[in-house]
Amino acid sequence: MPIEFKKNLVVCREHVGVEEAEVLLSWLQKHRTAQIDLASCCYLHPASLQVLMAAAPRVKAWPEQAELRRWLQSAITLSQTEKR
Amino acid sequence: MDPLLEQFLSEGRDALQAIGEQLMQLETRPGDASLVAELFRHVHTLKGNSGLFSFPDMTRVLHAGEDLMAVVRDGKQPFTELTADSLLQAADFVDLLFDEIENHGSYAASHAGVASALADTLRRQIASSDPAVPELAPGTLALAAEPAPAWGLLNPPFDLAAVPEPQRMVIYQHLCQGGQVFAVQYQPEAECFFQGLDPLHQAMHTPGQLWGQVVAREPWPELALLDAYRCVLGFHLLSDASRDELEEYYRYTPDAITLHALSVEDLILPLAGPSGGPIYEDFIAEAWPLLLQGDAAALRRATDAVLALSSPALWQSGVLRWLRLVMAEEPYNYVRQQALLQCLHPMTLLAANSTANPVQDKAAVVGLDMAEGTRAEVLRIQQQVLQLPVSDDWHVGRLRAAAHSLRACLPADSQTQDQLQQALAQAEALRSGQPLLDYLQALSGTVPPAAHTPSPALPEVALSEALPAEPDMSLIKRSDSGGGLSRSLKVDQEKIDHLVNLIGEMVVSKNALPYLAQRAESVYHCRELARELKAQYVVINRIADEMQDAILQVRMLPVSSVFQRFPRLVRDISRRLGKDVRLVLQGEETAADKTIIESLGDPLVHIVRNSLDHGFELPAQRQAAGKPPYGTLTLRAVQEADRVIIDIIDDGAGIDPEVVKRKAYQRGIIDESTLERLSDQAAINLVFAAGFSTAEVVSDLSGRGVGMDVVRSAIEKVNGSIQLQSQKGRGTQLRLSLPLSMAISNVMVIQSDCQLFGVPMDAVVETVRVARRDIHTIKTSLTTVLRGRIVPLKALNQLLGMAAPPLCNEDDEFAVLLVRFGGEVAGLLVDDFHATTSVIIKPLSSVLSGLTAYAGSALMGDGSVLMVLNVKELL
Repeated sequence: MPIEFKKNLVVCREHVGVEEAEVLLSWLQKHRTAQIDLASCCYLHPASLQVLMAAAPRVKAWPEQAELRRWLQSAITLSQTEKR
Repeated sequence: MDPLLEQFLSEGRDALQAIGEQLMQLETRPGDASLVAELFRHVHTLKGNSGLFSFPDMTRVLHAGEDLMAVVRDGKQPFTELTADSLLQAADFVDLLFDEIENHGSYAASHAGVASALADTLRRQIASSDPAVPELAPGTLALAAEPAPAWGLLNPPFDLAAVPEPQRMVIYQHLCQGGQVFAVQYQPEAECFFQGLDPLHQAMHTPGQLWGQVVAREPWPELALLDAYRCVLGFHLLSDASRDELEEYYRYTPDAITLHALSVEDLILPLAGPSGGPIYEDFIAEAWPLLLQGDAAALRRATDAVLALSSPALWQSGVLRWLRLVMAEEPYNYVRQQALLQCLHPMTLLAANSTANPVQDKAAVVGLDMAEGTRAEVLRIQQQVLQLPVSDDWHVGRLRAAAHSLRACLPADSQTQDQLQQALAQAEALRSGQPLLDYLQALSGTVPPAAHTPSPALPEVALSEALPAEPDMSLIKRSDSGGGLSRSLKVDQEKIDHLVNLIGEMVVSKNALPYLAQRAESVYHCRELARELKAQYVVINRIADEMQDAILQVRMLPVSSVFQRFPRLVRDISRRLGKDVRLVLQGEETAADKTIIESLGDPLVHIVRNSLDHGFELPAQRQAAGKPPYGTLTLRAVQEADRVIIDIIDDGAGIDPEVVKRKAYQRGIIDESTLERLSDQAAINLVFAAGFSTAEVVSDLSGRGVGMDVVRSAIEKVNGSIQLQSQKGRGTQLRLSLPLSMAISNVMVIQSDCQLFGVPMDAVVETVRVARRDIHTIKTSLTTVLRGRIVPLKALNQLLGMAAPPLCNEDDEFAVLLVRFGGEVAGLLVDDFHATTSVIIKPLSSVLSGLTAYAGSALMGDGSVLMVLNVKELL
């Protein structure tokens, strides 16, 4: 399972595909203060990325993969600053 | 080739065929809604499928065709001849692309122009009927035009301030060294996830990507209201790939892409930041004269010194860093350096300097004229400066600085200057840069960059129009409903041919069993075994025969595959000639071997063209002759025994034997005496003579003298025959008779000079024994009288260049094989007759192919080779 939900933390691993977006969204809707761990995530489908940008959760760990980290960092941080 | 592509081509051709046919039918029944719906479905399917491959031109044309059909289907526009013409044209174009794809795997890029023109034509028809549909310029990506030439600057599609300064500086250097960088704005459709697109992946792998960012195209809604699968993401990218590469990469979503070639001005954006103290005033006071004097080294030293003192986060530091970079990269671009220096101006400094005209001074110093282009640059920088975010206490100073720079570089006439002054006063009163921006805008007529409207040229429709790869419902349906699986199988022809060859060999080896049985009896004296072998042979023979039949059935094609091209052909040609001709097709389901059917195509086209060109009269002439104004052309296929008969019947003017005779005489095809005694039927058959043409004028349709003789030889090549009947004023009937199959032929085996030969059964009339005394010699030719007819006789040995005389039997009778060639009968003197047998005739290849006396060779059951004679060539 590419997404693992813990108490107030969601861990994304490997390839987070298009199907996960829905699951991720409904979980984040219920856990508004949740954190996200993207460390071992190596790809995120844009549908899931949208969810993360809209929810703008606090990111506990960014992806280890540099290219993806750069993209996610700029996208999520941007939406976080817009939210505030 | 990719099997998916292969299937696409094969299905695509079927679809094109269907499209062509339905267009024809629509012309006779323009109001038929079911036909229109079906036509739409075909075009739609084809378009959808073409989207699976990288054939954007094909998709574009089909898409335009689909839109046109949609309008027709919805009843917004009637189906006219023009509609049909343009759709047929589009279909022909797609067919052409298919050919190229089949041969080369892809098509030439040069077709893009034709594709655009075609799509344009189709769209214009929609536009002309439905003003609600905006006319799109297809074939072009939504480009933000060429690199901004001068003042008419088109702005980058997004705010480059988001790009970190160091990166912008690198790109700036790249540009200064003659490189090119594109700002790419990619705004995928909202529904793109459902189309299997992954825009993030696509954006991240954009060629030459230097920087990229994901942005939301609209504010995020409440999380509870978010639709995860409606894409609201936009992508901003910088790439140093070429325009072609980028267009190629985003070829499926050309409408979602905006490209902008970056200019240096786009990049020099000092970032907003806290402002520093008054040391910058001192710096400007120091640097300005240095710049005017062109003392770059001193200026650089001063700049470095100030930078070292400044906090790098300061707004001024950013400007200074740019100044330093510009000095290094463009040391002679004083205008830019000045503009940057002016950006440093804190507000208070302004009034003191306002009397000076620094730019023009500078121009005097370095001997440069203030060209329009450089002025445009200054204006542009000022425009940008005015839009930079600024804290309140800085605002007025900024405005004045800008106004000052503008005043300096604009023409010094009083009107311009007054307007500027007014704008400045307004701006100061409003504490906003807008009046000045408006003024600048009025001056240039351009949109201020502040708007940063992403590609204003892109209409909404363009977005929804995009995406050729729209999944096709019919495809989905096909894949998930097992019951709808096609019951027919598409098999490569080579595989079938291989099977035919194999069964041929099997028939031959099967024929060896009787010989074996004979040997068992005569050599080994095992009658029992011989009998069993024979019994077994009967069984194998039956199975082999059936198998052969079954395999040949696989190769059978209905004649409709040839006939189907005629509705279009007849329509096009008759319209071109101003004639009204109705085509009647009969017996299209009649099947024959693929080779036969394929060989029929060209001769039939020839015949039909001839008939349309020479046969049918113009409507007025027809009415004058008491015939209906429209002519009827009938193509009819029937099977008779083991032959296919194809009739081409027209009710046109028919052939006038007198005219034919005269023409033939004029052309030297017949001599005067023949002219006199030629029967009408024989005269009509003269049209098959080589070089014969009755047409007075050579048209693009016929009349080149390569006419019916070519048709006849093409038909005869596949062992067919052709008959022509015509009645002057009533019409013409051509009858083609063709074998059902080429693969297996019946031959009669004959013996001559101790060798065996085969004669195709089609040519054999009968076998007779003729007594020596009944053979007469007329001059040097041998003849005999058979049932009241004079039959010329030829000795086969002589024809084949063998010295031995023909042998006769004990009763002094010769064996005569009566053969038919053309319309005549002749007798071949041979030594003896053997049985008839079915063989597979293989054409002679390589060095032997020049031997026209033989139709080919066949392998006999005992392993020997039988040469099959070509009677027509022989006599």
